[in-house]
Amino acid sequence: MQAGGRLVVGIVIVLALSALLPPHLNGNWVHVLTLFFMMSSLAQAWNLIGGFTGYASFGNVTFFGTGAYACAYAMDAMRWPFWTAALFAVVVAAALAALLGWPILRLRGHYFAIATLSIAVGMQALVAQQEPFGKGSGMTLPINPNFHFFYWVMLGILIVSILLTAFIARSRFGYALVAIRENEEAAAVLGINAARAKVAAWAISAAITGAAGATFAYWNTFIDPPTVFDLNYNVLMIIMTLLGGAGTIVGPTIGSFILSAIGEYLGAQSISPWHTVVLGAIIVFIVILLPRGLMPYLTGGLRAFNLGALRAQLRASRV
Amino acid sequence: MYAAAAVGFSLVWGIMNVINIAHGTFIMLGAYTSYWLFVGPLHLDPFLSIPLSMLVMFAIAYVIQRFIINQVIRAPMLATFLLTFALSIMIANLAQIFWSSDVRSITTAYSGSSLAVGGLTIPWVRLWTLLVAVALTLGLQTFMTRSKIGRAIRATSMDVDAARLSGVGVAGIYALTFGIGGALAGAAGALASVSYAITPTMGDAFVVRAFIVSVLGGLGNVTGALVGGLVYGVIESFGALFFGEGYKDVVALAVLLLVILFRPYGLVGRATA
Repeated sequence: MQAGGRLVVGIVIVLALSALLPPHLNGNWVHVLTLFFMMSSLAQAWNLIGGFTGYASFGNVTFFGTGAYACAYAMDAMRWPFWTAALFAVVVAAALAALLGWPILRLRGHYFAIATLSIAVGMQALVAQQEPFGKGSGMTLPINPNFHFFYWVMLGILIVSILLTAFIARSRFGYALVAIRENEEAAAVLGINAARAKVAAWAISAAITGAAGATFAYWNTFIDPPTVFDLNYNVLMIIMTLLGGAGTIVGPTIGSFILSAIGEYLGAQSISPWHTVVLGAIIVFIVILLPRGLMPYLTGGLRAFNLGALRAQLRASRV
Repeated sequence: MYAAAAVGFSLVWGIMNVINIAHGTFIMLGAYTSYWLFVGPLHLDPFLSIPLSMLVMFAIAYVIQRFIINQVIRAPMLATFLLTFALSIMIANLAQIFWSSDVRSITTAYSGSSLAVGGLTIPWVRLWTLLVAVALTLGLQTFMTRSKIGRAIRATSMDVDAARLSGVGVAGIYALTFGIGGALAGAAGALASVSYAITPTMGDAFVVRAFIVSVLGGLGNVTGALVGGLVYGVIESFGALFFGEGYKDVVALAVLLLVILFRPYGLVGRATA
């Protein structure tokens, strides 16, 4: 994967250079790019459990919400500075993933999807009943007027998550995850402790998601259950990952970039029904015609386009 | 009501291994069909428009399966999951564009009246809803076990290739199954139009409950879905009673999690089924 390796290095360099941009941008663009970095980080995190390990989690938004609430609680009730609060949020999110993952990751396919979905919906309802978290009316955080700060923090989370993915993809742990995705029984026979590897993958995924959630809470200065446990975040993570290429190193970021650009073009500031209809049509297109995402085209150019192979693949997937 | 919403969902899930997220929007379309027939020149009673609503939804679901979902029916489950999700947001938003998000409702002559048995009062609407749900479930059960098409559908769910070798047109059977699922959603929508507010997003609440009820009843188990619907209604009411109204969803979802972890074949099913 020479071309793939160059792509990863190229994207990391472009992202690193984009740290120099904020002073030259107006407020709206800083906002748009910060949101793009956040969504990319969420997709990168989902990719670890959904793409590499093959467990389609619909509950990753739980860790976004948990991270946001942990950070808000630490900053509001305990008066911790942001960095300590964010670290606390990361630990809480990862611990929750490990705790939930132990029983839940034994489930497969549809059952795993439903179990994680019900956790996401259940956590939202549960948090909305807790007095220390302001019940349904949410929590407010101290205001930081320096919006460039959030740009840099989100960018940092994204770069760290890409480098972490690249590192994992080349490690024994990464190979173990792929082996589990391809055939869990065979992986177990090879001596992989599947349960531990899966829980570890989910915990790392949750840690990144929690960090993004904590930063989002401070950025937004106000959080309530429907905002931070919004299932749409989870759906977007999945679609961005699939569009770019699940189980690849920078696929999620590329998918996120394309969807964000389309959203910006259609006017994402005011989410109109037509915007959502177009999003739906894009998903239908991706699922049917790009089951491996855009990655083959990005590394192989148009040579990757093979009408015969596409038709054969379509024939194999229908009845 | 939950049972009516879940039967079609459970059928499609069990036979085709497709989790149809768009089931809720099918219910919504069914409710709108009844609504337009009610306010239209015919002024048709929602209970009488059930067959028409079922017919419309059968046709829509049949076409969607035949031309869209069938393309990825053998792909990994995430593909069909996302595809039906995409269809559901498209349908819901198109409904919002064409019919606006105004809340509509149907008020019939008998809307407020109820039957008093001893100390209990049961609204007529609820009673009729229950009867229709039971009748539909029994009808479907008979169809699946007795008719030739029903047998072909069950054979396809057991082994696609063996069914094909026995001369079953698998693509047609899948489209038919999805169509029946859609028709049942249409019936559920007609029933819902009497007791619930009709909006483009009304289906969302039904999908989550259809999920829970299907799992409680056991996948593809038609009568199980009926039992699951009743059990779920009771759990939800008791959850609200003991922990407070706000915990209703938490209790319901906790029950779902426990069932998935300990009895994934449903409350009435068997491990080997």
